[in-house]
Amino acid sequence: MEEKVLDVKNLSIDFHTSRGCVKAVDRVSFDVKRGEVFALVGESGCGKSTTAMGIMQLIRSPGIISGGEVVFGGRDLLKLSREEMTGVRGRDIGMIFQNPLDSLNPVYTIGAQMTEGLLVEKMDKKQAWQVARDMLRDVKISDVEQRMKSFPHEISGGMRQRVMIGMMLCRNPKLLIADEPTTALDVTIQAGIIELMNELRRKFNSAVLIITHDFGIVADIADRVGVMYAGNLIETADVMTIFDRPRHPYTRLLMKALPTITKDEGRLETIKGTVPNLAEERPGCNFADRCPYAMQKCREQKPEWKECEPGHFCACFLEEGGTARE
Amino acid sequence: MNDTLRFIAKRLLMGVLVVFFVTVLVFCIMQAMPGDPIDLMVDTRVSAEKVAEIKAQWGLDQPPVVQYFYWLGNILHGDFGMSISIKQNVTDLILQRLPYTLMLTGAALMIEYLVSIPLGLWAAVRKGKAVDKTLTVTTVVLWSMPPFWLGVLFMLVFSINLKILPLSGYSGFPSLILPAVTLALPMLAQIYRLTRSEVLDVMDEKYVTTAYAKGVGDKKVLLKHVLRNAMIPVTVMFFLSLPWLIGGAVVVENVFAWPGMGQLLWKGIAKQDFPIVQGIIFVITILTVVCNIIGDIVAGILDPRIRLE
Repeated sequence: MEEKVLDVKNLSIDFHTSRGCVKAVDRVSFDVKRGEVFALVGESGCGKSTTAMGIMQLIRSPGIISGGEVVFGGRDLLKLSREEMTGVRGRDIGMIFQNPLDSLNPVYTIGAQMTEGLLVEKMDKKQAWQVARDMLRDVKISDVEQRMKSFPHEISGGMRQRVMIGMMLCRNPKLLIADEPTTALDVTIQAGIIELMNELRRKFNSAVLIITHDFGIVADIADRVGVMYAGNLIETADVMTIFDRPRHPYTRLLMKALPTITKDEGRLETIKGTVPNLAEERPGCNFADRCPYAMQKCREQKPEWKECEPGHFCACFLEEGGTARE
Repeated sequence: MNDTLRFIAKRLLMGVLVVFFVTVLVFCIMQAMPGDPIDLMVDTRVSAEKVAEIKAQWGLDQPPVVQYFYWLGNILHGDFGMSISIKQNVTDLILQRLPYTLMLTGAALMIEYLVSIPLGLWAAVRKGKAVDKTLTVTTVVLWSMPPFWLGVLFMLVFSINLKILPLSGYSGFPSLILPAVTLALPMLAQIYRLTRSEVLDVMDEKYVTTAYAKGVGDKKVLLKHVLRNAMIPVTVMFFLSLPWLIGGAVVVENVFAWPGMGQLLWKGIAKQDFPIVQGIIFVITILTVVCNIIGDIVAGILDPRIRLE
C-alpha cells in the first residue's frame, strides 16, 4: 500500500445564500499518494476549485466546511486551530491559482514575495534571497538577478505563473495544489508550464493535486483522475482506465465530447441539458436529468460509491446491476 | 525620473492656467455683486464728490478689466495690494493668518486619518457584525451634522458647561482642540468609508489568497498585503482633501473666532473687499494645484504600476 499524502473523506462544503443552502461540495472522498499527480476534473461550477480551497481552508464567507475530514500527515486539518493551519499552508501544502495576473501582489517585487514564505520560517534574509534566486532558475526564468527586483506587472503572464510555482515550491511542500494553473495562459505557454510542473514534481518529489477542465492536461500530467459533477465526485480511476473504459455515464459522455482528429465526424458531441441548481434539495443522482440511462431509482435515491474494479471507483446504479453496457 | 519631471512641469503649467481662470471667475463674481466696498464703508452724509474722489484714489473708477489686470500685474511682483476695508497690506494679512489655518486644518486632518483608518480597517474585518454597523451609522450621523451647529454645541458643552476648554480665539494648544475636532468629525465619515471599502475590495484580491496560501499569518496578511494596497487611494485622498478642508475651515474659523484665513475671507466677502478675497482665493487655488500634484506623485510612489506621464 502506497503512502497517502492527502486523504479527503466525505468533505462537504455549503454556501448559505439568500436563495438557500448550496451544496457546492457534497461528501467528496479521494486520496493523493506520495509522488503522484491526481487530477480533479469537471466543468465550471462543479465544485472542484471549492474542494481545493476547502483542503487549504481558504473558503470565504458565506461558504463553510460542513463535514468530513481532510487527513494530511496523520492529522485532520479541519480540526487544527487557525494558527496551526497557517503553519501547514506553504510549508506542507503549496497552492497555485488560476489567474497568475492577479495572484501576485502588485506593490512588492518578485524577490520580496518569493522570500516572504521563507522568512516565515525565520530563515536568514540573505539565505532566503539565495534560495528564492535558485528557485527562479529552477522554474526556468532567465536574468534572475534582474527579475528578483522586478514588479509583477513588468513580467509576462507565463512568467508570473512560473514565479507562483517557484514561490510555492521553494519551501518544498509535500503537496502542491494547482488550481487550473494554465487556464488563463496562451496554449503555447500552457505546454511549457505543464512540462515544468512535470519536471519539478520529479525533482522535488511532491505530490500534486491538479484541478482542471482540460483532458489534454490530464493526459499529459495525471496519474489518477477524479471526475466531479455538480458537487459530487462520481468516478475515480487511474488515467488510462478513465480514457479507456469510463464507467459513469457522465464520464463516458465527456469522453465522447472530446474533439479528436482521428474521428472523422463533422459535429462535436455535446451533453444535453444543463447542470442542476444545487440550491434545490434532490433525493436522487444529480446527473439523472441529463443521463441517457436514467432509471426510476436514479431519481429517488443517491447512488453509492462503489469499487467496480480494483482502483476504479464509481457512483452509479448501473454498476450494481452490471448493466452498464451501451 | 525624466518622465516624472516632465509630468510635474506639465501639471504646473496646467496649474497656472487654473489659477488664472479661478481669479478671473472670482473677480467677475465680486463685480457682479451690487455696490462696491466704498459704498459700504461711507456714511450717507458724505458728499457724492468725496465718494468719487475716494473711489478714484483706489482705482475703482476704472473699468473692471483694467482693475483686474492692474491687480494681476501686482501679483506677479508678489504684491497682493492693499485691503480696502482694513487698509493693510493683503500679503501681510495672509501671511499672518495662513499659519493658523494650516495649523487648524493640519490638526483636523491628523484627527480624521488617525481615527478613521483604524476604524475603517476594524469595520472591514468585522464586516456585517455589530461593530461595523454601529460605526457606519455613527459616521453617517456625524457626516450629516453641519460644522457651525456642531461647533456651537461643543462650545456649549465643553466651554460653557464643563469649562474645560477655551471658548474661542487662539490661546495656545487647548484652544485648538474644539475647532479641530469640529472640522474633523464630519469628514471622518468620508475617510472611514473609503478605508472600509478599499480594505474589503483588497481582501477579495487573489494575491491576498496567495499570501494565505504561502503560510503568512492573519495579522501580517492584513497589514502587509491588504492595508498596504488599500492605503494607496486613502493616502492620495489625504492630499486631495486638504484644500477642501481649508474651505470647510472658513465656517469653523468664524464660529470659533479662529484667527485664520477663513475668517479673513469671510470679512472680505462681507465688505466686498476684493483684494482680500482675490488674494485668499489665489492662495487656496495654488494650494489645491500643488496638493493635486503631490497626490499624483505619492500615488506613483506607492503603486509601482502607475507611471507619471
